[in-house]
Formats: sequence, C-alpha cells, structure tokens
Amino acid sequence: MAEKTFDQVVAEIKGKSILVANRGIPARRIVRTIREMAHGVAIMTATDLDKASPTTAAARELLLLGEDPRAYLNIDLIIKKANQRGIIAIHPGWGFAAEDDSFPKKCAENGILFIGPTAEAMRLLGNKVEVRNLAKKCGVPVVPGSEGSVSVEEARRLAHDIGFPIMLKAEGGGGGRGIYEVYNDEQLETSFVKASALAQASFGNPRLFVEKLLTSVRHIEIQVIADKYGNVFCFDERDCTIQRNHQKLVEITPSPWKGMTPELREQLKEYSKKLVLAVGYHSLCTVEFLVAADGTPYLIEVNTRLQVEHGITECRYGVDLVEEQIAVAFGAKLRFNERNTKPRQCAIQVRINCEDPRKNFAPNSGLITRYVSPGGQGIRLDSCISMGYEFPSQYDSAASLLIAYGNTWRKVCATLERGLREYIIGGVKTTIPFHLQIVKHPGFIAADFDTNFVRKHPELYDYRDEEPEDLRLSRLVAEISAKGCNPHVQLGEYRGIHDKRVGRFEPVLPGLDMNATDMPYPRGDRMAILDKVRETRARGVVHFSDTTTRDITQSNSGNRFRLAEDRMIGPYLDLCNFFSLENGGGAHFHVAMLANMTYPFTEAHEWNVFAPRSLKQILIRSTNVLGYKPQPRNLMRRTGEMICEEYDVIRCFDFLNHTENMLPFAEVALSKENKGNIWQPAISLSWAKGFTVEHYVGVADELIRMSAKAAGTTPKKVQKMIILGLKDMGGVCPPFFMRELVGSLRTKYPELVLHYHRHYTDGLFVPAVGAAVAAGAHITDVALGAAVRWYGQGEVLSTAAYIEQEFGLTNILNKNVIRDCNFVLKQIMPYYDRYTAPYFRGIDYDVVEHGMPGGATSSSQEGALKQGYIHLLPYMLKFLAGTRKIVRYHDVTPGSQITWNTAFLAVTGAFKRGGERAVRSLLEVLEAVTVKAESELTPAELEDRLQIYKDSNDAFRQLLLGKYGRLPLGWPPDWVYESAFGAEYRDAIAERTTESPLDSLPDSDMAAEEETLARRLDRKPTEEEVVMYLNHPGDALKTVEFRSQFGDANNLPLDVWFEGLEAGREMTFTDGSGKPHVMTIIDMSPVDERGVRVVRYVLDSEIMSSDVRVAEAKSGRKSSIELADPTNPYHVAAPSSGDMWVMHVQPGDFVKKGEELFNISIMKQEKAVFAPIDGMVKRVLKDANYQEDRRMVPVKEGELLVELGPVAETCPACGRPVADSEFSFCPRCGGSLESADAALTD
Amino acid sequence: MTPAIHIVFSSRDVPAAFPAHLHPAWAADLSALGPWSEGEAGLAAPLSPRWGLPADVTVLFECTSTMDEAWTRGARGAWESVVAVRQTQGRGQMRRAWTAPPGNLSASLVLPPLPERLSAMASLLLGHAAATVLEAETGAAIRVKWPNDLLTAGGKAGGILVEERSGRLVAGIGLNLFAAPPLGAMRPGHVFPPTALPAHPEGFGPLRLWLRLLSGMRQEIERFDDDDSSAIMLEMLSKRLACRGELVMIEDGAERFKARVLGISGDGGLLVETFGQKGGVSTLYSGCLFPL
Repeated sequence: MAEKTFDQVVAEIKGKSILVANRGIPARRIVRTIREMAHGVAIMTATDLDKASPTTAAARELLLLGEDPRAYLNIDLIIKKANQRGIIAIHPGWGFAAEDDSFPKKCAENGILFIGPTAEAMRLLGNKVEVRNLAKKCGVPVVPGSEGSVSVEEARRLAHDIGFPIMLKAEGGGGGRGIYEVYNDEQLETSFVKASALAQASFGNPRLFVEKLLTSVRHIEIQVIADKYGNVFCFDERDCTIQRNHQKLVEITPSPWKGMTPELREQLKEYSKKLVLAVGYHSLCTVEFLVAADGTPYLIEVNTRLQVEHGITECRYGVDLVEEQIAVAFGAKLRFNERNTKPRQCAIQVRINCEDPRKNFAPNSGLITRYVSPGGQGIRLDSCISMGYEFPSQYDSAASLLIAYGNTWRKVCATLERGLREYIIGGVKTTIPFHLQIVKHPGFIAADFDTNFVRKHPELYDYRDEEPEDLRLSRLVAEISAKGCNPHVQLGEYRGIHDKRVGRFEPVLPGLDMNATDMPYPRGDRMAILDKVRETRARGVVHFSDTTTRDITQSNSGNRFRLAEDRMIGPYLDLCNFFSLENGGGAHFHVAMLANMTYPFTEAHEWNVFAPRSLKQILIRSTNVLGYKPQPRNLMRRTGEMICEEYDVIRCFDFLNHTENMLPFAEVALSKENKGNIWQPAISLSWAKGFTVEHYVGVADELIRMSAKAAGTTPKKVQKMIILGLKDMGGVCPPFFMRELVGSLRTKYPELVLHYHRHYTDGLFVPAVGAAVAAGAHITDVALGAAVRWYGQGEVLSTAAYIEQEFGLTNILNKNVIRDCNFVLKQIMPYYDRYTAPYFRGIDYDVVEHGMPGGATSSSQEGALKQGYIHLLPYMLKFLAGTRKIVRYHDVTPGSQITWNTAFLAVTGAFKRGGERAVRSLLEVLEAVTVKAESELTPAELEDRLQIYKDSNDAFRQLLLGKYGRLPLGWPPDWVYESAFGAEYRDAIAERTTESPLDSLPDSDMAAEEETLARRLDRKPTEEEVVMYLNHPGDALKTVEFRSQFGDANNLPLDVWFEGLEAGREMTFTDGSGKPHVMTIIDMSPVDERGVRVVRYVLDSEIMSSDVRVAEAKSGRKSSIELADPTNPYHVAAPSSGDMWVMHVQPGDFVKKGEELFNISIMKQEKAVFAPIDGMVKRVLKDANYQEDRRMVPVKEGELLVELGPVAETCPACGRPVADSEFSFCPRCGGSLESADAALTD
Repeated sequence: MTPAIHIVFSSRDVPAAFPAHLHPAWAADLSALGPWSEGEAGLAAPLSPRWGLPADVTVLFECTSTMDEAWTRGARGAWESVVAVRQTQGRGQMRRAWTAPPGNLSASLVLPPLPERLSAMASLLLGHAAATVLEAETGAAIRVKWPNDLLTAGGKAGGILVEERSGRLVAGIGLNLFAAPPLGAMRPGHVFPPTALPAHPEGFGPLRLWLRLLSGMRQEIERFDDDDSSAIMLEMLSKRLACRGELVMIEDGAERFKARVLGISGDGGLLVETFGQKGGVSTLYSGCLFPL
C-alpha cells in the first residue's frame, strides 16, 4: 500500500459515509471529528431506546438497530446494515464491540474499513496472557507471578522467588474480585484454602494463580499512535491512579507525582514503542503500567482502542487523536513527530456518572430535570445528556467527561473545581459532589496518592449533595400552592386551594433604636444579675419576663411562631428591657421539629444574634427534658450542656414536685463553667386540698437542698445563686393564696429571688400577679398585648400599670418599643389566628375545679370533638374535678395529659357500656368517694368505685406505681389500685416505688444512636442533630430530611408558608446565603388521573415544573365483588387484598371454629384464615389450588369468600353435623338419623 | 435462664455416629458451639452471651419442615427458632418445594408481636433484616427481589416465607450456603438461577450463621418499633431492591404485562410503571416479576 498524506485521505472520504458503531459519549465524540474532518457523512448506530437521545443530534444520520437494547454488541447486524447503507468505514468507539477481535475480521470480510487495529494485533496486544508473554520476550517488565493456576506448593515456591506479599487471584475472578492477600509463609496455606473455597463459592472455580502484591502503586499509561508504515508516536503519560475498585475516576496528564521523572517517562515510552512495533500494530492504543513507589514499572495490559481518557492527551498536545486515527486507518502517514507535536498544557478529566457515590456508586437513571453545563476558559465537556432526557437504565452510567486544562497543575485543579461547582445536573444523583471532594482534597492537590486513595479517605463521602436552596424551596412553594395548604404544619387540610386568603404578608416595620447597646441586666454573670434584681426590687422596681414567643404561642403547630417571625419581632422585644425573653423549651422545642422544620438550637442561637441584649429563658420538664417521657441521665446532661450554651435562665419543673428528678440539670446549670446561667427550679402549683402554703414551702426547702447539692455548696449560699420559680400553669391559685405563699417564702428565704409564672385561665391574672408582687415577688411573666389570647399569660402594660397604680411599684420597661412591637405583632397574628386550631380560647373559672392548664383546655376540647364525644365534655371536666381529689399531683405536662386521658377513657368507657346514664352513675360514685369517709360508703358504692379507673391507660397505671416519681401527697388509697389493676392489684401495690425514675433508667447508648442516625442520613450528623434525634427521634429525622429536601422554610414569607402562591403572583424571597430570588407560578393544571397537579412556574429566569400529588390516583378498574357483611359472623372475608392460593373447603363441608378455611398470600406473607365459628359451608365464592393449577386468585379486602351457615343437626352417633335435615343416614359415620329423636328424649 | 441450643434426636438419628456423618460445616459448627451435655431429647449446650440471643434454638436432624415444627411446638416465645439439618418437605411459598441438601440453612423463627403496619409487611421486614445482616456477614452484595427473595451475584441464594395464623407470625428462611439446587430441579418459570452465598469469612456453617443472622435480624427488627418506622424500613429496603429501574414482566394471576420497577410504596407494595393506554404508576401487592 502506498503512503498517503493526510490531505489525500480527507479527499478520499469526502462525502462518504462513516459509521460509529456505538452510543452516548464515544459516539458523539467520534461523529464530531468525522464532520469536522471532511464534511464526512457521520452516521451513528442507535437502538430504539437511543434514537432520540441528545447525542444523536450530532450525527447526520442514524443507523437504526431496532428494539434490542443490546444490539450495539451485534456485530453481524451492524455490518449487514452498514453494507446496505454503503458505509465505507466503521469506528467502534470504546466499550461494546470495540475490543472484540472478530469485529475487524468481519469488517474486512465485508469490504468495510475498520478504524482500529487488525484482528491479529488486537489479539496479540489485547489479550492479557498473550501480552504478558510478548512483554517478557521484549524485555518489558511485568508483575511477577505464576503463568497459570497453581497448587499450594507451587504458590509457596513462587512466593519465595518473588517475595511476599503476594496475591492469590481466582482464575474465574476479575474486576478486583476474588483476590486474597498473603503477607507471609504462615498465612499461605490457610489463605490458599480459604481463597480457593471462596473462589469455588463465588465463581464456581477453585483454581488460583499467584501475583506479586504491589502495596502502593500508581496507574500510569502511555497513549500511542502508530501508522501502517512503522511510524510510532508516544504521548506523555496519563495518571489514572484515582480509582475505585479498578474503575478509573480521575485521569491526569502529565502525572503530578514527584516520582514521575523524565527518565521514567522515556522508559515507559520506550517499552510502549517496543510492544507496538513487535506486533506491527497500527492505530491508537494505550499501554498501561503499574508503577511502584520506588519508580519500578510493571506492564499490566494494552488497550487496543480509543480510550475514555484520550481527551486529556488531546488537551495537552492540542491535537485530535480521532482524526489521526481515522487518517492512519485509511493509510495516511502519521503526522506526529517529536518536532511538531509538543506537550504544552496540563489537563485533568473527571468522569461524571449517574451514580450515587454514597450508595456504593449505585447507578441511577431517570429524568434529567435540570441541566446547566460549565464553560469558560480551560473547560472541555463531552456529554451525552441534556435537560428533559430520560437517562436510561439499560446502559452504563456515564453522563459526561469534564476536562479542565491549563498551564499548571494548581491552576487546572482550581479550574476543575470551579467547573464542577458550575455544573448542575438535576433529577438524578451524579458523581459531581464526590469529584468536588477529591479535587478539594489536600492529598490530591499535593499529588500524594496511590490507587488506594479513595479507599483510604472515607471522608470523601462526607458531603451534602443538595440542590440550590432556592430551587428546593420553590418546590415546597409549588407543593403548598397545589394543595392549598401546607401539609408540613400538621394541621390537616386546613384550607383549600380556592379558599379566601388572609393575603399577602408585607409587614410595616417601625424603626429600631440601633444605639441601645447597654444591657438592662449584666448578661453572662449570674451573681451580678441576681444582685441587681434583689437590689432594685428592694427599691420598689418589679421585673418582667416576656413569654410572647414561647408560652403564648406554642399550644399547637398552627400558632407556634416560626423563626422567620421571631427574627422580625425579636429585635423589638430585645429593646423592651424585660428581665428575660422566654423563647424556648416546653412544647416549643418539639413543635420546632414537628411542624416548623426548624432546628431548635440553631433557632436559639440566632435569637442571641438578633436579640443580644436580653437574657433568654427556657422551660425544661425535669426528667422528660424536652420530651414526654423520662430520659436517662446522660441524655439529660448532654441536652443540658447544649441548653446552657444558648439560654441564660433555665426554668425546670416536675409535675410531681419530685425534686430529685431535676438534679442532673441542676448540676449542669450550676456548674462552674456556666457562670452566666441562672438555675430556676420551679414549684408546680395547684389549688386543691392538701396543697397548702406549708406544703409548698416544704417543696421550696427541698428544691434549695437539691440545688445546694448540685452546686456543691450550702443551702444558705445557694439561695443567692438561683431563682425560685412559682409555676401556676393552670391559672388557678387565687390572689390571697399567692400573697400568703410569696410572703412566707420571702420571710423564710429573704435572699431568694422569686419568679412568678401564671396563666390567665381563671380570669384572675392581674390581681393574682398584683398580690404576689405586693408580697415581694421579684419577677413575673407577662406577654405582649397583641399576642395575648387569655389561655397564656396576661398583658404586660396593663399588669404593669395595675402594679404601679395599686402598689406604687415601678419598672424599667421601655413602653415605646413595646408599642412598636405590638404593631408588628398585630400584622403577624392574623395569619396564626386564622390557621391555629379554633378550639376553646376563652376564660373558664371552673379551671379551679378541673385544673386543665392553659393550652390543654383547647386541645382537650379538640380531642373530644374530633372523636365525637363533645356532648360528654361537661362530664369529663366533672370527672377531672373529682379524680384530682383522689390521685393528687399537678396538672402540667405530662400530668395534664395523664389526667385528661384518664377522664376521657373513664367517661367514654362508661358511655359505651351504658350511655349517659352509666356516665352519670360513674360521676355519682366519684362524687360519693370524694365527699364521704370510707366508713360512710354503702356496700354498693364500695363495689361501684372500682369502675372509676377501670378504663385507665398504661400511663396512669405507671403513675400509680411511682414510675414518674414520687406522688406529692402520697399514694392514693388501695381501692384505686384495685380499680386500675384489677385482680392483681396487690402485686401493683407491692411494686410501687418512690425512687426517682432516673435511678432505674439505664444510660442511653448514645454512640449507637448516633451511628443509627448517621446511617439514616448517610453522613455524620451534627451535634445538634444528634441531640434533637435523642430527644424526639421521629420528628428530628423528619426535620433533617425536610431541610435536606426543601431547605430552610423560614426563608419563605408567612402567607406563603400557610397559603401558598396563587398563579400569576410574584413572590420574592432570600435564600440562606442571602441571595434574592423571584418566583411566579404560571399555572397549575387540574388534577389528572394520577391524582397529580402539575405546577409550572418561573424561578428567577428558569421555567420549571413540579408534579404535586394532591389526591389518590383514580383506579382504572371497577369490579363487582360481593362484600362480606362485617356484622354477620357467618361471613368470612378476605382480611386484606392479596392472592388467594388455596381454598381448603367446599360447600357442604362442616368446619370447626379455628379450622383453616383458606390462605392468602399478601406480599408473599401467607395469611391463614380460620373459621370464626363452627358451621356448615354454604357458599365458596372463589376457589384456588395453586399447587395443582399454578394459579393464584386475586382477592380484595373485605370480599366475601366463604359463607358459613348454622349447623342444622348433628348425628347422634358421631356427633358430627348433618348438612340437611332430610338425610336419613349420617353421611360420615353412616349411622341412622331416625333414632335421633328417641335418643334426645331420654 | 440462659438460652440454650437443643439438639433433638429423632429415632432415626444415630447418636453414636454423631457428628461424623454430618456435613463437615455442621460438624465444625457443632464442635465450635460445644461443649455439649445430655439434654432432654438429645444434646444441649448453653448459648454463649456473645451471640446475643434471648431464646432457645432447637436443632433437628430431620423434620418435615421447620415451619411445621415452629408452629407445632406450640406456644413458643418470640425469637425461639428451629434449625433443621434436613427437611423432608421443605416449603416455599404456596407449598412450593424447597430443596436444601444438608449444609444449607433451613430455619424458622417465632416473631415477636409487631406494630400493625409492620406486621402486614413482615415479609419485607424480614427480607430487609436478613439481607442487611447477610451482607455484613458474608461481604456479598445482597439484593431483595420483591417481596422476599434474597439475591446475590445475579442468582437466588435464599428465600423467606412468613406465615400468619391468628395474628401470630412465624418466619422461615432458607439459604443456599454450600449447594444450590441444579437448574433442572427448579420449577418451570423460576426467575433467577439458584446460586449459593459465598463462604462465611470466619468459616461459619449453617448453625453459626443462623445464630449470627438471628441476633443481627433481631437488632434490625427491633429498630422498627412503631408504625412510623415502617417508612424507614421500606426506604432502606428499597435501596437493595432487585430490578429497580429495570423493565420486567409481571405475572399477576392470569395477567402478564411489562412494567418498570420504580420502588416500594409506603405500604410495602411494589411500585411499577406500566405502559400503554392504561399506563401509569401503580402499586402491586401480588404477582411475580421476571427480569427481561
């Protein structure tokens, strides 16, 4: 063949058709060159699945291969179709048939030029065993090892020759599997047996061969191109050391490794050239080496095709390898030589695959919902995807190849990082975030890596793969808008899409005094703060704490302020000169996660930024901390430490006033490190018999003793270090009682600061606060008027005015800022009022009898109403009033829930048994046992009182056993136990304990919990996430997942959070990094048969759409099945939908109760259905016998399958039933039925 | 009382030959779990606390099916289990035969009461638990073919059967450890070729693997202690769902149709995308899927 020039080849192929037998990235890559080269007709193969893929746009024509997705491997089909189309040459690309040596052979037979090596050269270089032999002949080093499978003895001999460590490799293995590492002689024998067994089990072939184990190596390869005339050119190396399980992830040229010397480079090129010349190879190939840390190279294999990573070599040299490959194939003389082809640039390529690195690089497919490609200087991108492309699952996961090139290694790393950050692929998980981790890794930048890099650095997986927050938030807005309500606030479907809105929230904010930098109280110094309170109180100054953002607005998920609104009013509250702002704890903490999707400690931290002057106060439920059940000590402490960082005043109560329960918290709050924290143990107050002033002074004594113990000091000293809280959560203690209580406490403990907390429920808030303050209380809780709704605290300015006018006591409040803050609140409250639960929010003086505290009054009404028992509510309240006299404790969380449930269950239970009459007699007995002495009770009353707690639940019984702590006024009488526990009540009495529940709670295994959480999140959780999770696992997870799915919803305006957007209205919002965004919904489709509403919207300048499921999908099929009557005991229904696979009975059969009638497989769980009663089978509506006919019969839940009938008569002889009364003889035992009557008369 | 392993001899077992006539893996397990002492119906050994098991394990040399044994041994406590060396009538779903030569694992366990929703998907729960533990134990990637086949390396390595009677649940597990039934022995239309799990790295035979599996599964199962956690379980399970994203043929009763497997629905059904006029996303609660 005569040498051609490149231009001759170009002229030769002009207008001719060249086929790329491939798909995706390689197909597009090669087609591009064909078009550039000579306006050649570039044709690409495509299966049905691929015929409209983005890559096909690059081709002039497609050669359709039909529906088999694997047709790219069907060489005969491709050649046949190529022949028909008049194709002159085929480029195989990489992958698929590119290394099948029958491909060039078959092309040659069909007169088509194969753009690649000859079959013979492919076989000699491409086969691992052949090339190993060839290398040995040519003096190219290979990894030492056996020539084939070996015995143990051979392995041992060889190991001594080449030295340990060695690898035992399964002959049947490959791709990194089936490899056993052996480090010394002793291990060899057992390892061999194990490896062999493993190979047998894994690959069905026990044979092993031996190879030297290279412990730290780099993967270095040389790109070679050769023409048909013996001209060979070797390019500089590519470093493909960053791999995972032998899959290349990152490719670099030149190698940044310091061991990559010019001498080594030349040597590798020399070896490569030798191999290529030895077999007379032409076309492109890559010679791959492993290079040990000391620079010793070992040949591993030769790839006889264009490689995925060829692009970086093109960038380094500024050439087109494919162009040259085509020219050489057509007989052109190689144009490259040392003189005209010089390396100038550095380049890195990363492979962007649709894989989830954190799920073990599991491939994923699906719709590409968003696609923004990187660009700019130094970037080359070869991709096969676009927005709207349904990435198929049938092929490999390669989405694109991103190359960065430039003058220096550092510059290229920076360019690549920038490119990766610009790159957005939405809808599928990709390796982009993982590559970013690699590119940022100091070990990578320092070029300090070997092939174990990824395995050695698990921190590479610790990243958050989240789309931009604006995009995520826009989906949340789409969801709320399409549904008309926000499902995440847990209020049910509180409004519909067409309901009237409160309207746009555009608050008018009065100016803030930015110069108020003084601190009204010396924050950060416990003793100074308390001294100031004592000293000013002595001068007639009363102090106020504000509860607007906590106790006033927390009772359900509809009215707890979001952080967004806190941010708005917090700065005003901060300037009001309150002693403290109560902004955390209680239900507030839980609802942050339950409905506001907010991290509570992050919220608290932010408070300290936007409201830095004021002390922050939190409410803790003793052992329950921030939850609803006792928590172990170590969790209490860990939570306590976190609380102490963000809160100044730590108020803690126990519903039993069991002071020991608070100890772990007291220890944290009073520790030396936390000298700014003020510990405020609080007495839970009730207004009931036995709860006298003396009783509560006794509780105060205990609290002081406990606090002294925690602080490691004397009770006398500790009085000056703490605040005593007086917590009247029901709003029940009358003014005179407060006057007496406060007076006694002040007398007994003159240095002790008293902080009074009271609800409005009985209507006597202002006079009660007045009485307490007049008697000497230092601080009292109030709230801002615009938010006061009676069930919480009273109003600040009116209370302050009353105290000032009646008692001449002043304050330091800034009334002007309070007015400004009220104005802002007036704009916020309408949204919360509209969407909070509309249940009881008035005054109820009867609270002094029934004791239901603040928020519980409305939630109890809601509970009764929703369960259809609203008519029983008066009875329930009466029951509450009665039971409080028998089992005596304080009605605050969790006590209030326990009392309410006890009342609810008792009253509804009685109602179910005997209607309102039974309820009334229950209450009569209750009345009798509370007013009469034991001796006065009638025998009937003694009997009937056992009904009172018969329906009580577990929590109540636990309470009776002392599992929550010691009851404040001692155990209730024994009959209460008999009523609640039944016959075994004596055991219950014996089981009672007065120990703190903390003593019996083992510490929680926090490390294990943390690990569980990490596994759930696929990343290391933050400290706050761990503490959230330990306190409220389910809701914490929900919040973390919500945040990852949607971002921080506090960035959305208040009205949009509750009401969503209507089409056409523009919304602006700011994302977490402070960037403003605009969103407008274009339209929302009607609900389709999938139950989906499609929301189309514009976010900034991109048009997006979001499918929101708003209803159940409409089912297509209707059937007329006969349903069983659930009240008919003879009807046996399918217990759930599934497949019936066996029916055991047929009409006429007699079945005994408990006999299996049929069996249904539901998700392959086999459910046996038994006869509910003895009976005769009347009808069998569906039959099944899978074992015979291999058919399962679908059944629907509730569908009647067997109808039984009563047994007419039984045979007197065998006792078995007789189907029909007209029978004369028993069909089973043959006995005469005629004598039956006679027998029966005996 | 410390839980124990009981080996029950049936009349045909010859204690004198014990344990020489067993599969070597059984022999190794039994010698590792000793010392044995004379028990009520055979031999017994206390279960070392390191296995972390709360209840007794009964080993039968031969029985019809461990499912039958677990049911007929009456009111067994939760987590009690039965392991058989040989089953004469081993069963899979719908009384399909399950062949297991000695050396493979055949076991049944009594499940504790589960929260209502999880109870309805116990089969999936078991699949998730077994796959998770097996993957950790053997290092082999385990996928779950909905609802309850355990797959590895493209073949079926085991199956799970859950039977419910009057609200009580017994689960059976069969695993191919040393031998997979020859293809010819499979029922026509089987989906994946039978295969065996890779050998346990510590050389465990069926009994020790069962102890490890059981204690691991218990931990897994007890994590899901309320109905809300069923979603978590399903999400974890769906990550190892076989054929996910692939086109499959679904056979449901008399119907056959093509569908793409999307995942698992909130109530444990298989979410598939079907094609054609009535196409769309639907949830299957029954049927069998075949990869295309």
